[in-house]
Amino acid sequence: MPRLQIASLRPTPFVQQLRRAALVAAALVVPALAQAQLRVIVNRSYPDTDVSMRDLTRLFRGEYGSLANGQRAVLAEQATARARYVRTVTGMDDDTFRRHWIRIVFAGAPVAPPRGFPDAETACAFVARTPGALAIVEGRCGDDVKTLTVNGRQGGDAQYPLR
Amino acid sequence: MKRTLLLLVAAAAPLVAQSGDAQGPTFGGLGSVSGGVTNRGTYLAGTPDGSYQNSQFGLRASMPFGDKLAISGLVNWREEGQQRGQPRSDITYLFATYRLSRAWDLRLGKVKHPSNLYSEVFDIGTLRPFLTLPQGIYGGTGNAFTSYTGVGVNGTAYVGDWQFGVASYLGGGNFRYNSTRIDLVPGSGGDVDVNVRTSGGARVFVRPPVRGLLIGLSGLRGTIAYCVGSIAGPQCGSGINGSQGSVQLEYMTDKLWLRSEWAALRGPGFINTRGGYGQLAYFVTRKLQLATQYDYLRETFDGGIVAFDPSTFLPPGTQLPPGVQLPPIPNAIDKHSDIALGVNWWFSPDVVAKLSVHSVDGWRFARPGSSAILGGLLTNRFPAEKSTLLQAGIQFSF
Repeated sequence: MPRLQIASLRPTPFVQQLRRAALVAAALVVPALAQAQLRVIVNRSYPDTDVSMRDLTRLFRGEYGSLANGQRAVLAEQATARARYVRTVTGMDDDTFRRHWIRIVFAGAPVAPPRGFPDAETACAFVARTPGALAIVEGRCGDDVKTLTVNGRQGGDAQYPLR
Repeated sequence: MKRTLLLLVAAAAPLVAQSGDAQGPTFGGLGSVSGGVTNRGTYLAGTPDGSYQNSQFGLRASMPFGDKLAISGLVNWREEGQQRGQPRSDITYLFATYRLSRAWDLRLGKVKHPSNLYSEVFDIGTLRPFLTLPQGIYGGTGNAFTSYTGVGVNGTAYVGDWQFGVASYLGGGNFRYNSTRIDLVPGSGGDVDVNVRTSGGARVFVRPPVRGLLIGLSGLRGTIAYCVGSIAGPQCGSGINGSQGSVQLEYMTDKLWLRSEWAALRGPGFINTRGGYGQLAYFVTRKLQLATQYDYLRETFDGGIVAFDPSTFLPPGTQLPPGVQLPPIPNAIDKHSDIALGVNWWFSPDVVAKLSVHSVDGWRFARPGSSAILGGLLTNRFPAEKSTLLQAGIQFSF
C-alpha cells in the first residue's frame, strides 16, 4: 500500500512534460526580458535630439560619412551588443558586417568602422569626449552624453525601432 | 617606397597629437600566401613542379584632417615566384578625399579604379571565394584597371528604398598586359606596358530594395599607348582610341555569394577582348564555405607586334628547310576558360584558408611555355590545350 501511495503522488508524464516546457520557456524568456535596451548616444555637442532609422542604417553601413550637422561621424559600439544592433540596424549578421567594412576601408572610402569597446561604460566615456561620436550601447549612459530618440521614439516606447 | 610611407606617417604625427584619439589615423593590412601545382604549364600559383613563392603583404593607412578632408594610402609588396621571380612593390593607391556632402566626395590622386566589382578591392583575399580573381576579367587583360591618377567624384543618391551610386573620373593610368602570345616575342620580357592617357569613365550601380542585390554598369574611353620589348628594340604604338565597358551583377546574403561580370575592351590596331565569369559560394556552416566559378576570355589581335606572323616568334637566325611552312599557331594561344571548385575554411571574416582545383582550357593564362609552343611550330606537335591546377593558401586582412 505505501508503495502505491508514493506512486500515486508522482507527477504523471504529462505533468512532467509541462514542467519541463515551463522551465525551458522561463530560460528563454527571462534573459530576453532582462536584455537591456539598445540606445543611440552622441556627443553633447551634437545639436539634434533624434536620428532616423534610415540615417542610422546608412551611417553604420558606411554610406554616410558625416552626421546630419556635417560633423565627421565617429562610430562606436559596445562590443557585447554588436550582434544585436548589427542585425537590427543593417540587416546583416556579424560576419557579413565585418566583411562589408573590410571592403569599404580597403577601397579607400573616407569612413571608419565602428570602434569597439568592451562595455557600455567605456563606450559612453569615448562618446563623451569625442565630437562627432555616435555609438549604440545597451543600457543607459550618464548625463555627459546625449541619448537620441530614433524615428521620434524613446527607448521604452513599444514602437522604438531598436528593440 | 619605405621613405614615402615614413614621410606620410611623419607628416601625420603632429596632427594626430593635436586631434585626439578619434580623429587619428587608422591602419590596416592584408596578406596572402599560396602555392600550387599543375599537371602541365604554369597557371596562377602553380607550376608542374609546384610553386611556393607566391606571397603578398599590404599596409593601409587613412588619416582624417578635420570634418571634410582625408588622405588614404595602400602599399603592397608582392612575390610571384612562378613567373617574374622578383619581388615588387607598388603604391596601390594614395589619394585625398574631400567630402562634398554626407554621401558625395571628391577624390584626387592615385585612386582605386571603380570599374568592376573587385577593382577597388583587387588585393583583398578575404572578400572573395577563391585565392585569385577570375582571370577572364582580372588577369591582365585590360578589362580591369587597378587605379587611375586624376580626379574623381563618388556618391550615392536615394529614391525611396532604391540606392543609386556613381563613381566617375578623369585621368590616366597604366596597366600591365601580359599573355602567352607576348611571351613568344623574343626579348619582350613577357609584359606590355600599356599607358591609358586622357581617360574618362564612370560606373553606375543600383541597389533595388532587395538586400544584397546590386546591378552595375561601367565604361571608359581613353587614348592607349603601349610598348613591348623585342630583340630589335621596343615596339610601340600610340594614339589608339580605346574603350572598355562592363556589366555587373551581385547578390550577397549572409550565406550566399553570387557574382557575375562581363566586360569587353576595344583597342583598334591593338587588341580586342571580351570576357566574363560567374561565381557562386555558399557557407555550409559559419566557417565552411564551398565555391564554384566559371570564367572565360576571348582575344583577337588587330595589328601591332602581337599579331606578327608566327615566323617572327622564332629566334633570330632560325633557318627553315626549303619548302617548309610553319603551321598556324593554335587558337588555344588566345583562348581561356576555367572551371573551378573550391573549399574554404574561415577562421574569422579576417582569416581564411582556401583550397581549389581548376580545370583550364586554353593557353591564354595557363602557359605551356614558349619553348613548347615554338617547338610545336617546327614539329607541328603542340602541347595539350587542357590543364589542371590545384592551389592552396591563406589570406587575411586586418
